Amino acid sequence: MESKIDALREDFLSELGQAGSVADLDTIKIKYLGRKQGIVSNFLKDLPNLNPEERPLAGKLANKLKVFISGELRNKSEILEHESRSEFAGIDITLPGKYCSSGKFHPISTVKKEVESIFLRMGYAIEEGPEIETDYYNFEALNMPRNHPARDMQDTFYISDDHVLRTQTSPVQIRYMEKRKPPLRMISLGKTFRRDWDVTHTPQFYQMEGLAVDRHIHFGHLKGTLIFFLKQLFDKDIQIRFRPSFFPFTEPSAEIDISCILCKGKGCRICSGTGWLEVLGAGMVDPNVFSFVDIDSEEFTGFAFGLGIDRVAVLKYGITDSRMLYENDLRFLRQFP
Amino acid sequence: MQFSINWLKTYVDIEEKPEVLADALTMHGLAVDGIQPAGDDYILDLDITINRPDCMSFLGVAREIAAIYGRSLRDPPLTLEEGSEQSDHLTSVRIDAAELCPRYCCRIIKDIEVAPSPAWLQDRLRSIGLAPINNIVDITNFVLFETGQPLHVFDFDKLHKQRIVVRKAEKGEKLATIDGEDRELDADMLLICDADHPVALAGIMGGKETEIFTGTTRVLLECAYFSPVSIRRTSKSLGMHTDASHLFERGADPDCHYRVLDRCASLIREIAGGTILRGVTESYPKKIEKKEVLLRPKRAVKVLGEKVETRSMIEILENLGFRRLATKENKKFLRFEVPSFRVDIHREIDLIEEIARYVGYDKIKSSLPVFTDTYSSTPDFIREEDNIKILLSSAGFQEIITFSFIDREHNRACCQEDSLPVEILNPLADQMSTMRESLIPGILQTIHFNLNRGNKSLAMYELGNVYRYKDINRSETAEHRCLAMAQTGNPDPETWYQNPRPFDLYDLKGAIELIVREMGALGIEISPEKCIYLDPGESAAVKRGDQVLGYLGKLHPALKKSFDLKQDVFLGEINFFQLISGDRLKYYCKELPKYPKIERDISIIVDMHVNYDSVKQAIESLKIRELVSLDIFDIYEGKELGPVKKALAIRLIYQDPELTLSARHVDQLHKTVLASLENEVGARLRS
Repeated sequence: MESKIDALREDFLSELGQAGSVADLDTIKIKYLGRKQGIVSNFLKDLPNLNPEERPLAGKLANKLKVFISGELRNKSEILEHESRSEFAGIDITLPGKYCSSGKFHPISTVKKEVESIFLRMGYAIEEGPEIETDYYNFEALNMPRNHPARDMQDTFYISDDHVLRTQTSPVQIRYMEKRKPPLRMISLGKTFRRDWDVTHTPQFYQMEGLAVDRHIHFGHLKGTLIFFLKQLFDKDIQIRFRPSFFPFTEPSAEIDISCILCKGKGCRICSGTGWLEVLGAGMVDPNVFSFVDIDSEEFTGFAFGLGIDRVAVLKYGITDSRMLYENDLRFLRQFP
Repeated sequence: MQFSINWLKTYVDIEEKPEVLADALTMHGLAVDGIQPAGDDYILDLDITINRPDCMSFLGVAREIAAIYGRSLRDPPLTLEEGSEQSDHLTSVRIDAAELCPRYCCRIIKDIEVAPSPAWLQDRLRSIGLAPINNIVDITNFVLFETGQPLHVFDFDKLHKQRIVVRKAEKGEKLATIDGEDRELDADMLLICDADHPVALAGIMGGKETEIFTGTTRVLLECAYFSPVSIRRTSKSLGMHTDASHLFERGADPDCHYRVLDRCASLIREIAGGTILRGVTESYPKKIEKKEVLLRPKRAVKVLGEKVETRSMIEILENLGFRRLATKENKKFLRFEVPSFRVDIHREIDLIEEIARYVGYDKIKSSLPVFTDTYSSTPDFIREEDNIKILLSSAGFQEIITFSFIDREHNRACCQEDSLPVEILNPLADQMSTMRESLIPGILQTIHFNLNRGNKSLAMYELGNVYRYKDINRSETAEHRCLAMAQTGNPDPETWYQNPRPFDLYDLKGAIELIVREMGALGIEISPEKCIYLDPGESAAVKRGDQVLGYLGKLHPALKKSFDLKQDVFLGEINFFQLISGDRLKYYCKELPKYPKIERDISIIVDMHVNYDSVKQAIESLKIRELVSLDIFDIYEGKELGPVKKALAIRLIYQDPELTLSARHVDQLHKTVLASLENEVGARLRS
């Protein structure tokens, strides 16, 4: 008896599964529950012919099946009805969705963030310093005494005889080393100012400064760190070259070029045909600088490096006039990530 | 600086193609910025770093090329033929300022003929962009570029008493220089004088009176060493930058004078004829010692991180002209005598740099350092800044960065506190002369710029420093980080689903509330208060207790006019450091309420002037423990309410953490709320 009811249920379910319209459902309904010829109805009608001991169970099971079938038919009919209605419900998903406003970081901030995150991964601290600096921190302690031609490298805005708008973020190095004992490693990003204004120079720009001091730091570490950094910042396949240069606060000093990201080193307008782009200045911290901050240069060595954030933005995003970075035309700013 | 390869070839063999040579020079620290073909020659544009004045000459660059390729350097030919007359019998040199001029040498040549230079000499000068003048001047220029040692020629017959005196100027003393200017001098400037008058500004420029001319027959050829600092100070303060001053202030070779004088004198005799008087007349009161520097090969290896053989170090340095001296006392040291032209070398680290240059930076192996510390800190505010910027971005604000220096008047017009602006002594323009005390002018200028370019709907912020003097003494400056925000136009673009509406002050307030809420800042209140840059009718302060953190409101009509803005702007500025430094929410898990809440709406009519805060106060002052939230959800103004009345609909939610509230209890609480509203703000229930 039970198996017969189960078989009926299986048959019903398979037919229900195939039903694709309300009409199909009506047919199924008549087939199983029709008053005259419905299978389940007939089964119930035949109950009195069964053995009296079988009768109660069979009746119970058949009734349960009847309720089950009606319920399933009702559910399925709702689904089918809903589906047929949805096709004409008036939603045009090709219309623009309701506007969620959003803004962006300034491209300089975006690059700044990227640079910070690379050095944070290497365990560097981030530090800031004042933008109006004393002559001592901006020049003297960086091995650029008054009347030193090195000062010609940076056209300076003066506030007074001994206060300037900082021309570089390097003074933060000095302040950081004054406050702490090595080992230390930090970067500092911020605004800097020089008296220049043309397509590639703005009187205000951003720089990153980095410093690492420990007992066994050497030039190979400087190279490794900056290669790691540049590959993360630009692309893992760029070529990188280190060549000797001069900065008053490092020795040996290096300038670091990457293969032109536009022409891949073939030579183009961006790299003035050389295939190389100068992106970083760096070097081993000059012992004179250590003596300004009372660090024993026999015990400790270190490296320092500097990067123009604006320059990276200009290179990465193909900006042709760096002055646009400070005009803040919102159509311009919205182009960047 | 331009270098002709053909000219360089007279001192060193060069077989390499120009590009190959350029690359080699670049990788040894003499960066080649460009290569220009010029007939059968190539001109290299070298960017010589300021520490290498020795390479600001053909011999200097040739010396590097010789060292790079292991070739020998050919000194310029020298066949000095002197006459019998003694130079010392005719002239004398006296130095009264030995600190500024430790050495002065000269030679006299007589019976010369001033005429145009021969073609080869003219060509040499033209190849590096110099215009030929006459044989004597051209020869001194040629020797200057060949050796890097500036020379000067005086018409010997115009020197009073035919003597040279080197001394400091007296304040107010005057000298007419070759360029036709009358220079008024300061004490401490170094002068070359004859027996009575100044005849040259030492190391910078000669005087008009003793300049050679076509009739000159006897010349005094000067070759001296001047203190770099003195030359630089004088050239700066007079605004005179010459080839000579450029070299002297970087440091000329203190021990080349005889060689250079002999070279120059013999070229003059060869080209302009005449007789070189016997001997060099010289004053050398302050002996310039040869420098010796110790090198520990171990230290070099430590700094470079590359196992360079001691043998290679010695070879590199010897190729560059360093002379190895005996070191008996200690085997760990090598002792080197520095060639006189290398004014940049004083210390061991300088030698290590030379070694690194010639080992090749590219040959040094790269690795990442292992640090011996276990912690590095980053100030909290840097993370806070990022968080707030991300919030503002998602709230629709675009970040901008403007210049820190602005127009003085703009600054004053937006400065809420007493203005103590920091002024730039040498600004690029008047509109960029004052360090901003507020971010508002920069924001307004940016809005103006954008509106003019058709960007009519704007939401922007800037997070940056403002600057001022700490006090009226104007000795110390202070920098504060501020956050400024502004909105104008419509928040949404024109859409198919709703009518456009303009920004209003509640948009901006909402953004500030967003920041305050998300950073968990406690005790921040916004209440009406006037501000210099805001419309007095729509102006509020952001406060923590009595401390004003900033302002927000509608732009003052006067500023709207002066910045030529045609639409309303809502804006504000908050001191960021003050904002983040107060009490903050402690993030610690709280149990969620287990018992149901009961919502009750209340609709009241109050006088128009009653503000929402006082309504809120009337309810909150009851300190009903079960009242968990209080929100206004409708404001209605209509004639039927009566004149100057408005209706407020407020939803109150009651909940008890310990038990299910009974409706009767809530009814009672609600009754006290209504009573308080009636008493405190004159409210009556709206029916």
